[in-house]
Amino acid sequence: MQHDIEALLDAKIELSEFAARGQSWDLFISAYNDSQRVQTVFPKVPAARRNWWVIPEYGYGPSDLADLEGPVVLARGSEAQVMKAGLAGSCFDPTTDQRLCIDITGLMRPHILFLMAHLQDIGVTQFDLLYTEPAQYSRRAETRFSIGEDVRVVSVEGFVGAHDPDTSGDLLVIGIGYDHHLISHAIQAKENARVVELHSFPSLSADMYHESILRLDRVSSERSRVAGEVQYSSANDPFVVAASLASAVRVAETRRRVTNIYFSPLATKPQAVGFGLHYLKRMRGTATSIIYPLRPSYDKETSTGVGRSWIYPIHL
Amino acid sequence: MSRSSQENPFDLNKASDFTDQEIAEQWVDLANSAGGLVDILNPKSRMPMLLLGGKGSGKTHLMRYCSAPVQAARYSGDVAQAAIADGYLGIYIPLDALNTDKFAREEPVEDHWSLVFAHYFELWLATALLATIRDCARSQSLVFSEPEFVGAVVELFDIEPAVALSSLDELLDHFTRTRKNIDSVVNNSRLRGERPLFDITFSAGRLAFGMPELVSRHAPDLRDVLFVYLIDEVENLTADQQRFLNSLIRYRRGSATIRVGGRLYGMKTLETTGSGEPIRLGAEFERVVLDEILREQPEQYDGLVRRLVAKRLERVGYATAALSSIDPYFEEVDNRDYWRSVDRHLPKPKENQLAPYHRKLATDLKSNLDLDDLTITTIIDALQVPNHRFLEKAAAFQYRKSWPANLDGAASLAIEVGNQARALDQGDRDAGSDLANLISHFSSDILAQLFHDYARRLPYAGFATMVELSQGITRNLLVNLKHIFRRSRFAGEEPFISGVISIKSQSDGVRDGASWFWEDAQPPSGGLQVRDAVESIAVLFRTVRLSHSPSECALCAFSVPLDALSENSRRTLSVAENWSYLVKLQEGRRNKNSKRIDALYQLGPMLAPRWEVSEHRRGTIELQQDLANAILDPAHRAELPNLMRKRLARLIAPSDSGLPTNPRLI
Amino acid sequence: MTEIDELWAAEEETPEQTWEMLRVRITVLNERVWENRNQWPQVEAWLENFDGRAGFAPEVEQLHALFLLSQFLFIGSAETRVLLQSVYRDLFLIPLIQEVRATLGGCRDPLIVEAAVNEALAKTRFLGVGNPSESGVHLLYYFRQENRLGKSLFLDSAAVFMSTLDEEGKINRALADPDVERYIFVDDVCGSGDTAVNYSDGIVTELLALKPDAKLHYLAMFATRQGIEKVRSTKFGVGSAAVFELDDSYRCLSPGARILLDAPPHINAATLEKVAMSYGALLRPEFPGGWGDNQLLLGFQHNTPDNSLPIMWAEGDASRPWTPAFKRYAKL
Repeated sequence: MQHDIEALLDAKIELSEFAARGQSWDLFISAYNDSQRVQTVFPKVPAARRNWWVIPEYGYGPSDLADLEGPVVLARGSEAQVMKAGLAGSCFDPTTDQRLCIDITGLMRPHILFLMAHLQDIGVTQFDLLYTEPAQYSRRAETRFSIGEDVRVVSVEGFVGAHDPDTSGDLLVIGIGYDHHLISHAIQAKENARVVELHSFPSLSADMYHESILRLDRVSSERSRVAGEVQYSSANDPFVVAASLASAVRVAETRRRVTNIYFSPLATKPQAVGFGLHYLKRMRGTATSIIYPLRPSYDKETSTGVGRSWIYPIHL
Repeated sequence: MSRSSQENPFDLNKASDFTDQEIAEQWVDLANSAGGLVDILNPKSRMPMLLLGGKGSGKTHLMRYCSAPVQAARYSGDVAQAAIADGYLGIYIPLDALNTDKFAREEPVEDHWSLVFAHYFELWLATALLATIRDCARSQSLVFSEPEFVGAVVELFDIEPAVALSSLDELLDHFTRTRKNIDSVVNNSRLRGERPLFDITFSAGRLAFGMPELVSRHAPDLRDVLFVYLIDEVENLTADQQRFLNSLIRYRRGSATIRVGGRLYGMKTLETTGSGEPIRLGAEFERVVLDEILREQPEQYDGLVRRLVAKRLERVGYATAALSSIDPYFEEVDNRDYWRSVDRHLPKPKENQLAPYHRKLATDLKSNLDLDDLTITTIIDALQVPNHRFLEKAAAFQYRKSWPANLDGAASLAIEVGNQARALDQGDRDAGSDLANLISHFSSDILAQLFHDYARRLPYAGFATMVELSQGITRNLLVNLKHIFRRSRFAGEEPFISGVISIKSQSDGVRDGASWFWEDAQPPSGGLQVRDAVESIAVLFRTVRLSHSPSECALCAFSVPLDALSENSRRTLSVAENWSYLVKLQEGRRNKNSKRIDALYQLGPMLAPRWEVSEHRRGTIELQQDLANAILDPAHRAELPNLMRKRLARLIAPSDSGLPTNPRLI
Repeated sequence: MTEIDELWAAEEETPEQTWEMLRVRITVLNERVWENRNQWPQVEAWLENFDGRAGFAPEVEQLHALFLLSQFLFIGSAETRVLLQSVYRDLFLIPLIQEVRATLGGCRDPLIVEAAVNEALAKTRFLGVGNPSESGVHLLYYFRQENRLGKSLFLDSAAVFMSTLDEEGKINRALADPDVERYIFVDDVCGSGDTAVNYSDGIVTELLALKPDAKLHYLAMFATRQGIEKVRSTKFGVGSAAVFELDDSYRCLSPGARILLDAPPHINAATLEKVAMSYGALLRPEFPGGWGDNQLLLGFQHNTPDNSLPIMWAEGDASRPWTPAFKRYAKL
């Protein structure tokens, strides 16, 4: 097959196009934060029920939430605890809420991943994810330094593989993002693995690829430069990401024997969705895990403006 | 192997970049007289050992060198013969692959997770061991009673496998199935929030220590072979998980033993499971710090890294450079005739304009001693050393250190100091002996000030400097060399082919290396606090170095009264040491005012270029309790400005007039 | 730390530091993306062009030139290939799969969908924009390779039509293959949009006259926003797209230029413009800011488009020597 048609069966759709078709959801969930792109989309989404989740990482207090209607305020915990509490708080019932849409714009990557695994596990194999871009991708807005912060690299719950003690061919596929410190943490956590860099190219804007190369170079002492371990993938299309990830692993396997595999999606949130798709559809039960460097807290939001909103129809 | 000379010989700097074969081929060791690196690990000893060291100190390399696949590579692929000849068989087990966080996502864990971990961990060790035994059994030269061995291993289980097992392959499959079942239970438990449920099929220690005994019985040729679990990256385990490992160390028996590799403070506890009683140093385990050993034997280390560099050069095809001495490829700052050569690294002096150090001196003379312009001109004139800026700067430095008490002394001091400098310029060491003496102490600081005066970066050059900067950690050296090579080639030089690697390329490269070390070798926790502290210390050293009158030459270390510090401060020090931001010096330092021995720390030489402080182990400054806490403990940080101002007042201003009116330095 | 900062041996940010920082940036870019096109000696040779003729001290001009160079978006051969994949996959194949699935009632069987996609593909032709010696056409070879497409799917624009003489001796123009339903025009850069407009007025008009329901797409790797809008207003229509649409912030000398957002100390917007435009006017008086005043800082492994600043790509002559940083191979 020249192109992975199976991975590309579904495609992202603009929210406006979706709404124009007169379709709507039974339940819409969004993680609250300060950014315009989260707040302005919420009331516009056609849904019978709408629910805000207030996730602990942003550190909102009651006074910040006074204007929200019936928010589900979530306590600190692992991604499994937080997301399950969220679904319970929204009284999500798979039998009545058949059409579910979750805005991932304000969620953390491990949250997004766990939600996908959990929904699949309880038999919800079809749902939609929504993501809204900022008005303009400027490399500045994406700049975030986590230097010196406490970081712990963990396996994302629901994405824990059955690993092998033979580590001689371990592979770490990193979705290269802007935060080179996170990349450094992931590489250090799997020091024995050979690293495949999955670059976001085409990048969200033309100059971001060069910036990310420059940042990546700062951790270059951490990585080996075995030729051919650089692969490319879309920055904002999870279905293309899933296809590229599959192909990246295939290419790596043709070069050298692979034992354990680790995926670490450190670029965009749509990329995390793509990693999740590929894992849940094709890697479950193998010696593969998704790992992620966790931080205790996050900015409430750095981007400005509201760009296009995308719906990702998920079929697991 | 010959490769394109486009390749950077130092690109690969981690053990994981190399195959087993390459580890065997690229191995370099200490000169035999001191006993090689393998003797440090001492794999033939039954006594368990903690092999600790900074990141990149070569622990993994050493452990892998002693592991079965690399042993086999040294004996034409025959692992059984390798084991018999070496007297041991290394089972290398890096803990990062265990993904231990899946058993302990949040601490403290519920008891059942500790049990799950312990069972899984031993199964993991047993699988690795069994895979190695299978490789041995395949050796043509070995008599191995396979069915009997397998039957005996099955006996070790409390719950027998459902299917009959008769071969090593079947046994290994059984181990794998059992382990994968646990993996699946664990993943589902994480997904669904259920308790993980599965059968515990053997008791702790039965497989890990039982199987080696059975090997001796069923493969007589291997009866004298010691099975060594080389458990690497112990910092991946939580304290609770380490307790189980410690229990294995305590209860080890027969022909199996354990080596544990990790960061300096990778061991979070020495306690065991159950009673909790800690394992005892000396009686139950030994402890070795690899980079400390290498730092204590600088000649050995120097020889080691030279052989290492030669191997790397040879590998990518720089055959000539690999065979010859490496030093001539690195341009050095020529220190002959009192660094006369530095002139060409500085901007050209401008006609009718004072040198920056003279300009600043003139300002200070005016504001401090209230001298008139004519006198000041006389003084500056007296301090001139035409065409020798290092000596001219040294004279200004000497003048500041001696600083005239009053107007009368000002001119005569200048004449005296200036005469000395000009005498040295003429080669007359007797007439310039006082200044020569000062230079012998402070030359590196004078140089640093001189470059700073001209807003130029301080050069770091010469292979010996590179070795010194690496602080006993081979990867540090390789990282610096990698950056130097890249800078050099970009600058249009031909490193290791023709000519030299310029001072600029070397200095740029070590700065790149320092940035990496500072920005990307990040502790997973407590990083911010440690970085603030280390930065304060570095900037303090730099401030002293560039001050009006440095109290210490080549300052790079500080002593602190460890016992008097806050808990937080001590933790900062240990995290900083763990990540090699600070190097603890063994000798300690006797406190001037009491009989107490203070702890002595050197700023990691890798970081020295970042703040242009000294990389040599020379000057030491004492940090008293209050100042040390203010630097090291965020709870005391608010006191830092005042304490620092007090500490530095005498150094940065030309007189004792208290706080500097203008705190900017020379 | 703020209170104590004044006590330290504080560093002022000097122009030398900016220079060093830019040099580091170029070191990395050169190794990782520029395919080693500009080692420092080459950079120095280019910098020597800036000798004070823009009215500033040479070191000021050179610092600003170095900054522009450090922001140059060079698309190497690996990246070009990835973009060609993206043109095909993201702009053509993915919409096609959805179109095909819709006709199959939302079918999710990959084999059925693939068969239908292949059928549609067989009725598609890819063409390069420009004559065969130009880059749009030159790229088709890699486009075909990267996307593993059959040779039969590619056409020279002349081969779209077939001319026959009828009995009266009149030339009749007809489509060479009337079954073809989609014509995809591939280009590297759409700057002003003029090239596409010429196509639209020529071959596209004729094509549509012969087959009014043919589906036409103009697809490029890069397009300025105005350029692609202009193309969309032609007969190519809304099916025209680029992988990267460059908005006004990519005009590097404009007030809203994105390169100025995180410009280092000692880089001044007015100086930057004056330096680039003064030398640009010496080199290309008709368009000192690049063709269409696009002011791009963009170049490919195979060529540098003239929409980029002339100071980057122009070559001098005996009377006015100039060493380019990223040479342009001009159309003859």
